[in-house]
Amino acid sequence: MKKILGLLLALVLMISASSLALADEAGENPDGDLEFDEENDGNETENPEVNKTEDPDGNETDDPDGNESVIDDETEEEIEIMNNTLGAEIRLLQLEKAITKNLIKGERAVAVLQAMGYNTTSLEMILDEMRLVLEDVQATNASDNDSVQQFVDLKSDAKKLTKEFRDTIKNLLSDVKYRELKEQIQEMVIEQNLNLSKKIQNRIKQFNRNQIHRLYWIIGEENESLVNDYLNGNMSTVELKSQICKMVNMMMKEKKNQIFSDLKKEKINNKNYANEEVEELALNFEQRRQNREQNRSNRGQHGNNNGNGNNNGNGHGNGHQ
Amino acid sequence: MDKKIFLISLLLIIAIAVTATYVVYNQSFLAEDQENYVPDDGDLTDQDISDEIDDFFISEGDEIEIGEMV
Repeated sequence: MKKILGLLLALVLMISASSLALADEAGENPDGDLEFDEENDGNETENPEVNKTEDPDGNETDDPDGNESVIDDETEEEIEIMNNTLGAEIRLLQLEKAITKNLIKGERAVAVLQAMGYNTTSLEMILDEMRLVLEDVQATNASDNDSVQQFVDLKSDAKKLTKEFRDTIKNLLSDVKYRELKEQIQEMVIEQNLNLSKKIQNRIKQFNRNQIHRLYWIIGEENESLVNDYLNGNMSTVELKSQICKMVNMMMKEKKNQIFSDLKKEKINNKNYANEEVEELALNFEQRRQNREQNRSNRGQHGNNNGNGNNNGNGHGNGHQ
Repeated sequence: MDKKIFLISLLLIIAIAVTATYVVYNQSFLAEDQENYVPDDGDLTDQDISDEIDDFFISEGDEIEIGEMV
């Protein structure tokens, strides 16, 4: 009888242990994907390495747990549309525009500082490296399998160099002079970016046109005149969204619920895609950064040896034109 | 002999109970995957729809921030 009692006790313990194990799995779905709840749309990530914060200037900072930043939330959101070539092309062009703008502003700042008699060697070195990052962005083909990785890595490099440049200038100037320079630089109109802006707007229109058709497919109704008005520039994106909202809100409750669920599902799929990419890219992020820096250092030396000047213009074999 | 039968029966009952719990647990996850995302009360506001449609498009003024040089 005592043996039976002992066995029963052992069994009870085993069952308790298996219940605990099951409860532990409750945070994951059967595929091991993240479970998105309704309230936060899945903005939380499993990996503590990818929970990042940013300061108002868009600089990466360490998270409250003291983990070094790798890929910030903003970048993760930007990746969500990169699961197709057009989305990837838009992001790469936007990155190219942001880097070009910073390069021009950086060059202007260096010119102003040189006129004031400051030694700008370290700033010029940062700009040289930034030009190489720009070349890499321009050389990235949006349809390549690694375009997301290229985007994440090169954006991170551009942010790092921008911060380095800003910190170097802060060390050179007094607070008053720094503020004066800041006002002067921020007022600059970057005309060189106008062509890029037009190209980006054009691609965004194409992207949104595709989205309208997807939406029509989900809704089960079509209104071609809306698409035409949008493409011809007779209707803004805001007006277009408002018209589609009206269309959906006039539908029966069941149909509306179905459309809402389909849209939500698509958004969650995109978030899952971005989350998986970020988790994978975070793994050897630092190693890749070191490799890129080494590679750029070699290219910089090679360029200097050949007496080549730097070029931040738009003449490039760009895969995303 | 009776004790052995009793023990085997007990083990069987426990094994069945664990399997049943596991199956129910998995099915609830599958059901959760397939369920729609409409709030429990089933009432969607115009804003709910508007938010979802907003996220479906990219704004033409959308830009990537890498910080300011100065």
